[in-house]
Amino acid sequence: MSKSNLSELNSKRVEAVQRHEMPDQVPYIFYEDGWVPCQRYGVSVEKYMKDPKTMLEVQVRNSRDLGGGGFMGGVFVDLGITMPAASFGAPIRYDDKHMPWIERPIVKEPKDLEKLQIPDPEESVPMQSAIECYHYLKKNAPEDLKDKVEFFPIFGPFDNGALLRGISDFMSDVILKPEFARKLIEMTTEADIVWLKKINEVVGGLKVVKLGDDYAGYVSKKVWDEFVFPYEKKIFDTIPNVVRWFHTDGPRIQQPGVLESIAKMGVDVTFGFHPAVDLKDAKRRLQPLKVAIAWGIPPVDVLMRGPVERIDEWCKMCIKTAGPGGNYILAPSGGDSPGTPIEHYYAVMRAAEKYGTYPIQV
Amino acid sequence: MSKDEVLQELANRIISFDLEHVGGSVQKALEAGIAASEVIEKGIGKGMLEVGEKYEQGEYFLSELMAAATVTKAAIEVLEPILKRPEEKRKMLGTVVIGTVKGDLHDIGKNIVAALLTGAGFTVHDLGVDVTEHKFIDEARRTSANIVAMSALLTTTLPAMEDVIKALVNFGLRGRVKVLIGGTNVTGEFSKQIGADAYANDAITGVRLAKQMATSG
Repeated sequence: MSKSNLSELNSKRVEAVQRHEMPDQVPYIFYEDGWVPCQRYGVSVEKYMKDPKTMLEVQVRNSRDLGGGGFMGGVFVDLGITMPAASFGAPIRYDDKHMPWIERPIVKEPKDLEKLQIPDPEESVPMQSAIECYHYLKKNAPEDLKDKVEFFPIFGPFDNGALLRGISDFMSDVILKPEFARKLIEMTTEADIVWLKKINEVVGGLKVVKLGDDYAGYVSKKVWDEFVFPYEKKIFDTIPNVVRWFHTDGPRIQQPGVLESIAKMGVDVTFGFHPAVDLKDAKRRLQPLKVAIAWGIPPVDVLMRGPVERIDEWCKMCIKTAGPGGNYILAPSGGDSPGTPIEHYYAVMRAAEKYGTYPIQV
Repeated sequence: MSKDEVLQELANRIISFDLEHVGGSVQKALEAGIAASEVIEKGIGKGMLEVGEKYEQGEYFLSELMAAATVTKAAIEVLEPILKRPEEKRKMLGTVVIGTVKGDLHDIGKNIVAALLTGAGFTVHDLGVDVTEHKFIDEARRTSANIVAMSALLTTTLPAMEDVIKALVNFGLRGRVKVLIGGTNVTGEFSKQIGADAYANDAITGVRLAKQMATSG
């Protein structure tokens, strides 16, 4: 089968899962920040982030190499995790090898909140750059990928608050200075909503909304209920009747009540959850709630380090655990790590084909 | 209040994240004639130890850990002028230079370890994030550190840890400086490969190992 046919077939299977329909086979995706394929192909991360032509070349090559699984099967406007914070005015540090990061937090004390303004997509330079990048990708993407051009997942309000304030301080604030943290998160939520509405307008109606809030998965249920859940839900509810994907990095997402609350956000697919989250337990709890799982393979210990026999065994276990009944996409737990050999991705793709045909008979 | 009660009150300030009153409790302990090193070990350290235990047991989470670290930092700030005196320095467990290595800007794990080490009775010099090998060397020399502790989250920045160890060797410091490394992607195998003395995947283990290093000389 040609790479583009494989890509198309895999995409159809992913679409079936996100609609909670049973595909003929467990599909696969690889969740990658752009700097990972940049390292693979020897491309400067800064150039990739700032030059849409380079971004498109890297993403198309990556999508082909990974059988349509790269970048979760699409082509993305990828300005990095810091883009929303940059829209608030935070300085960004770029380099050739790593993901861009905030040079320094800009919210040092409560009075700094008064200086923050919700970014206006018509005036914000990072947002305008993202919109221009979208139009470039849409115009220049290969025919088979044109309808898969998207914006990168929305970075959640908890993460954006943490980047603006400093991660350690923000984590501390939710306990020591809850009003301060709440005001900041209300602003980052509002910024996400404004941005999401703009994206919806630019693409002419979103079909899927993907939201990622990495640090939110490290907090207690109390903090989750107060500082995460209501804000994530509010953002998701901005665009009704679309498929909803949700990502967080932290292992505490498995706490009783927290995992279930994801369904209350209306989430259809969870992606890139932490390797320590127990797949069997999550499947047992999420399957009745019609929430699909798109994770399971440890990205460093298994996918990066291999060998391929171990990856095959691990994928087999994932499919056996989470495949029955559908609602499963074979994928790494968390983002892929730089330095992962391309053969290791092929091992995942082969395992999906070998063990993932429905009905699962592993 | 007895000395034990004063110290317990201080520990409770840490455990309950009482930023407002922790400084007052440190002052009260000093006014009761308790040595600064004892205030750290039996007051602040005891509190952070219990916070660490609550974290391990799943009662506390990352935000609670960071809140306790903030309260600890405030308590230590009150003690800092006293801790600079030579007689107090001698009573400390040792001196740690800590930082996130060059190219890596993640600080949460490093900050937790720094707070716990302080609570455990170490003098901690936190260099922050994106720290070059030269900064580690300069600070280790300046402070006569016993331990250099390095953190890295990214797999791409792990090699920078080896650069620091090589620099310690080149500058003749490796003989007296133990090296402790940590981070999500650090493994025992990697630790051996680069010649570190120990590695920890979590903050509590990191502090336990640092204590072992300090007592083993």
